[in-house]
Amino acid sequence: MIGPQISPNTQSLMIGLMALIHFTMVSVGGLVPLVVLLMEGYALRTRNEYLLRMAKNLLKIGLEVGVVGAVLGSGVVILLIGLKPLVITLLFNQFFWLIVL
Amino acid sequence: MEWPPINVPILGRSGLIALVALLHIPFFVNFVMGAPLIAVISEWLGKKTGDQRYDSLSKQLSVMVLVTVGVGAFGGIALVATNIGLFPTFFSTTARIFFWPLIIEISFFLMETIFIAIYRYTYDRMAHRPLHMVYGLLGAFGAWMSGFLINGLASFMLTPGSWAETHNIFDAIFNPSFFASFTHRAIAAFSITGFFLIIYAIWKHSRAKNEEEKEYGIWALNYAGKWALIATAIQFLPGVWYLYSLEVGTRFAAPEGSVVPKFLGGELFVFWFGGILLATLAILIAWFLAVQYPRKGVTVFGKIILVTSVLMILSTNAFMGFSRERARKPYLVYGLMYGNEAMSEMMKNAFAKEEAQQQEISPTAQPQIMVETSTAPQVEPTTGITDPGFALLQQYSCIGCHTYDGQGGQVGPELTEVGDRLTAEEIKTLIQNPPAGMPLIAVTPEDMETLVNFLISPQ
Repeated sequence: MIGPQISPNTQSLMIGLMALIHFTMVSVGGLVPLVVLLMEGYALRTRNEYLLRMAKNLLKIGLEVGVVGAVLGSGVVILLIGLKPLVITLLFNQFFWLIVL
Repeated sequence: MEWPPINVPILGRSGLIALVALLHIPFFVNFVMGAPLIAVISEWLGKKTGDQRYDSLSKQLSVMVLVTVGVGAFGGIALVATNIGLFPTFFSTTARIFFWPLIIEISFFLMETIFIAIYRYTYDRMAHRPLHMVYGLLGAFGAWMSGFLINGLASFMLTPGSWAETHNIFDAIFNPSFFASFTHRAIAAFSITGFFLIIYAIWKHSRAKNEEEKEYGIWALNYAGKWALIATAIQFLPGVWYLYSLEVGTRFAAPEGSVVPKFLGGELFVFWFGGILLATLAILIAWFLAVQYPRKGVTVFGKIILVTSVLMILSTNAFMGFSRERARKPYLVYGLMYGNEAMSEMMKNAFAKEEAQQQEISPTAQPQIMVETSTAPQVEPTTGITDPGFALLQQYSCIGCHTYDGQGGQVGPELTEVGDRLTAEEIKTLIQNPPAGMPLIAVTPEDMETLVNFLISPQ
């Protein structure tokens, strides 16, 4: 038998969980630079060195969270192509150039 | 619904994928495999010798790896995206074959990302401590295991081995060229990292503000040159081994026979031998300007020549990759799958077996289907070839690929007695969610009923 032998419910659970973690991490990763920008502005206005240092560290954490989120994004794609090939091949076929851009 | 093939102007579909792969593989796969190990080895040398230059280089390398992992991840996604978009049948099939290895690969990828970040961010506090080196080694382990599994898929495309008969994933991964190919890639990891470090050394020397920093640049160039020189020079041995494994793996895999003659004097000789020639020149430059006379290497002329050597080694990478891809043509998986629609006899049989086995797993995997079948409306048995169901088989072009009662194509499994193998709902599910290789066709609900009832009880 070619392909994974997984019940439909488990398939949905796997894709859903991976997608949820991916979106959460990418959202956090995307939000962090905005928060850091505000923290940096406030820290410069109030000359708060601690806040500035905290913003710097937060940026590092946000970056890493974003990268892990991106890795999980490739996990979502692999799960979809392996478990629901029809859906993802159709999407990529229809929106190919948009995805490339 | 049709999947219109996407045309890529100028480059072509394979050309676009090759371009993405070229950007992804040397920077991501090779460098991220080699750099964490060289960073840990350099840190260990720094501890052992007390020479802080090793530490500076190791720390800088950890920054480079961290950035490369982040940026390179997008290259991987781009490679997957272009494959899905341009070769949907091929990629969905290989993703099904390699489903679990790919999922495990993602886990190793995560491991690599996390531990390389920890290694980098704890460098100042924990340098020289065994635990810190363990972090680096775990990051490297993630990268190597990731490469190990991806190499399974990449080498399978050229030498699928006995997988077609066994359908065993281990036969797919550990195919005839797997170990030779992985050894080749593993050594390339050190070679590429060495050459990238040459660029780093030149950059450090160019930005040096004092004599001490300039001396560090010269030392780094010498150190990088040794990695580049030794790793590239010994590539010859796994290269020969790889060529031999290609001969073994492709000799009987397809009617075209072995791909090796294409390299040794055939249509790909210019690229293959050109790659070897460029690598030889790069080795000579690295030996002369980085290892033997690094002070000549940091002159303006020396720097230009050294940068050229890095371009040469990247070109070698591209030429070898191109030769490997072209050698496989016209197949996407040698002897098994070619083009995006057509499949070889072996692959057709593989899918026919799969369909036959679905009947056994369906009652437990999809119980709702069985319930629905018992309540499905039944129609009177129809008769032979004049049945409206047969007209629908023609109308929806099913018999373009499937045979019914001796008529039609032979791409897909025969439908004459499909009712003995599959239930009505299973046939309906297959039409609505076709397996890889079969197009999705929009059948109206009324036609679906007629068609399915005809297929399960044609007499």
